[in-house]
Amino acid sequence: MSLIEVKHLRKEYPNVTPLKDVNAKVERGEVISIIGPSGTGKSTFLRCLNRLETPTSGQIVVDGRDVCAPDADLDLVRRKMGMVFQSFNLFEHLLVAENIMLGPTRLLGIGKQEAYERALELLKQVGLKDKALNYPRELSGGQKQRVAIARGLAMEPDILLFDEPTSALDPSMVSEVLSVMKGLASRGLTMLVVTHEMRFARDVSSRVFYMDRGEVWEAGSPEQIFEHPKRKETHDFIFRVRSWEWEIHDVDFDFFAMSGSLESFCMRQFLQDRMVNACQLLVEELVAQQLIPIAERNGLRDPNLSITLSVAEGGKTANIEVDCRAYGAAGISLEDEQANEVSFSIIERMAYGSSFEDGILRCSVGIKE
Amino acid sequence: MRNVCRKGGVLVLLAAAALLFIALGLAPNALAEANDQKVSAAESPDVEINSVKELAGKKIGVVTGTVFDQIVLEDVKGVSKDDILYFNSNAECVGALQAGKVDAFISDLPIAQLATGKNEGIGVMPEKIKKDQYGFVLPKNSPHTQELNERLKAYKEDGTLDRLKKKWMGSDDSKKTMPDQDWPAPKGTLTVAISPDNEPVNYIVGNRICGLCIEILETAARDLGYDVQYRNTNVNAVLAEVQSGKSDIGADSFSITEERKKMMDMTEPYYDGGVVAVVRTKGNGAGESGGFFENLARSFERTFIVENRWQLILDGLGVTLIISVSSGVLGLGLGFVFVLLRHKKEDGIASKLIRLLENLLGGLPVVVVLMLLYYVVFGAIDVPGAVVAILAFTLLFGATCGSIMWNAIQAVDVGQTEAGRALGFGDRDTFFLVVLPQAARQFAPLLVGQFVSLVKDTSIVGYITVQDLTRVGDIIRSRTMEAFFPLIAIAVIYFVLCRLMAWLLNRFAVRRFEPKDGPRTIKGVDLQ
Repeated sequence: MSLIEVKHLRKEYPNVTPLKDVNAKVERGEVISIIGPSGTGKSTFLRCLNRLETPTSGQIVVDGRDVCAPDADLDLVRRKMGMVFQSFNLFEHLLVAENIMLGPTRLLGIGKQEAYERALELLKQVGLKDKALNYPRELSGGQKQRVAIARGLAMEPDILLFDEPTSALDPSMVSEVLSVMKGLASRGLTMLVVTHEMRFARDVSSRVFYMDRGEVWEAGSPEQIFEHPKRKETHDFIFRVRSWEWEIHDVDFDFFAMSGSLESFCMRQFLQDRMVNACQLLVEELVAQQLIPIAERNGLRDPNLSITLSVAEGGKTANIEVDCRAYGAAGISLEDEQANEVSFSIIERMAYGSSFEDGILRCSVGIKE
Repeated sequence: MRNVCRKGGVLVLLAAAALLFIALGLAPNALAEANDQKVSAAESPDVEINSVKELAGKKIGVVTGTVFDQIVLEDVKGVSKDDILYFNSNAECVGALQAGKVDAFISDLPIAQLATGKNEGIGVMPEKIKKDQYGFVLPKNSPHTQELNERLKAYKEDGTLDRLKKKWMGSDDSKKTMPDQDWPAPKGTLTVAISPDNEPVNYIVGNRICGLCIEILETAARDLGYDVQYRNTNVNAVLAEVQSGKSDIGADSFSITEERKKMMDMTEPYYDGGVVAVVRTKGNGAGESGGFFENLARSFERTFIVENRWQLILDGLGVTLIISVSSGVLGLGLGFVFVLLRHKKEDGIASKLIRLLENLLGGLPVVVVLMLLYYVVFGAIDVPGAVVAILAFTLLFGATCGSIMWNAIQAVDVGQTEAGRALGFGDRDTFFLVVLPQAARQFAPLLVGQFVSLVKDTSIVGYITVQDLTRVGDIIRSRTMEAFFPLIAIAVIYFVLCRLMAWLLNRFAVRRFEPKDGPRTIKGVDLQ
């Protein structure tokens, strides 16, 4: 029998129905990543499992217990199913160690001294033993989330739920939390993780749920979901999260906004530094040194550029597509203009496989092993 | 010692007292020669202004809310509205006169005499502005009116009234003692409402109510076979006491007017007084005589030492403390009960009622709530004023605390509750272990501030016969006729009291909710 079995789960709010018909099974020891567009009920699904939300209809059986039954002992169910929140929700009035001790001492009847020692042990596992006597507000976001994980573990749960555990973190702190989670996964803890971290979903989870339209639209191994999605929506989503898009409608565009947006996209993709640099350099060179000056010279106020950068599997190459059909429409021949440009050779040096067809410029950038 | 109800002293802010004076047209009693338009020469030393005529064009002070401004406008020629300045008490009028801000102030004769006797450089203008008569007030159609009138007539004829008037108006304070109330009282007890801050008609020495109208009344009671019990309240409340029937008689210098007779019974006059002007004596310009420190020492002695007034102040402080602390503790408890009820079911009936109560109490002046409770809700039952005061302030403080605590609880992030529930804590544990301690950090300092406000707010309990610190200050001011010193003394005592309370509460209560400073420890855990 599966550890978690969900049948025809439905959740309605007065104006919206995030969950229409969710069916899923989770076996003991599985690490499930739940991905999908915003607003498709991923968090609601997770919150129904430990009954922070009350389902409208359907059945959820956890370890043989129907948690939707009217007489279900929810407190008992929750003790066996920890939760890690997007916004950490550490108890601000308690020290880090006290945060972790509260559940064991009050709910499991463990003595304070023993609970403290176990708290230290857990803190050591998440690398924060020296923060035991700090207040949560004295920690960084990543440290807070690691404490929250330790707090969940202190109850020795069978299942740990993660509700977008890294979404509220600075990019630089994401990886410290993910490596702790990776460690837990390897120890056989059953985990359900709502996440936008596709690397984590692909590399760590045993199965991936793609949620869309209030259902588990497609479930399968990471390889299946990321490389060979069966359904169109899954494919589109995977492509979308791997791409970065930017539009330029004025020759005096905000260069730094574009540059920052591209950089944070690259960080989210866990690209190597060299790869990040290569992508940035190419896009910036192409736009700021080539296309925009050409538009300026020719009096084209709105170059109407649409830039798409999509990272290929493995993160070693990226394809760049620039839609510059507005130039052609304005009677500017990019081929002629570029031929006059010395620096165009830079792009040719950095990029490979560049082409220009029907007003669309395509090229690839990559790093060699 | 008879049952003088010290606990039921009236405490009224001076300003409020003055307003009440006005509203009820209670004229402080004038003691002057009956039917004589002149004040005796002995009472009027060589003053700057001698007649009503000379008042024309002068600046004239009156106490706000009295009828004196009307009297001046009607009876004194050459005085316009712009010439009249309003003050909150006779003591302030004295100060203004001495400082040269006004050239005269208007008062009843007894007050005028008292003021001139106790202050340098002022005297009563020889010519009276208006005559006036004083009587006792009783509820409309009271069974006692007739017999009291008969006694008053008899005393007038046999010279008793004259004898008593000489005794109480005289300068020899040692003669001004009251006989003990030791006569048989076959006809029961008369309840008499008084405001004993009106020397020499009606005032208090030590614990004994005394004065002209008091002795007349007790003489009549003795002859009629009644015992007398006093209810000590403030001037405006005397009339409320009588009209509501809580007291049988109101004894003070109540002017006999047609208007008043429509509302209640008024006896024959026991005294013919009048409205007079108090002016500066010649050769005494603005400013008090004597050096600053000399005056200060004299004021200190008058306020604290004479007649053991420090004892009165201590008693008043005790009353203020008891009312504040009781209401503070009970109100905090009540507020917490409100919070628990609201937490249990946020849109339940109880929550709605509590919100209604909070809005209601929040929208009413404290003094109105206090008087409503005393005169309306408990009008028919004899509940001590102090108990009603504690009840009223408990309700008010409870509503305020409840709403402050509830708002702080609402402000705690819902994620905290979710984290508690997700760990497996029930609703109650989550509330007490997670939400409340975090809310307390926000609301505890606010509650301390509210408590200090409560201490200050209790200064109005004088309205319902409670003799607290402020009321004691008023009584002392009415005796010393000093504008500032007793007020400043009381202010200092309040300030010290409030700061001390705030410090204690912060030190021993608020700190518990704050983050640990210094070396961090966990209770019950050996960190090694």
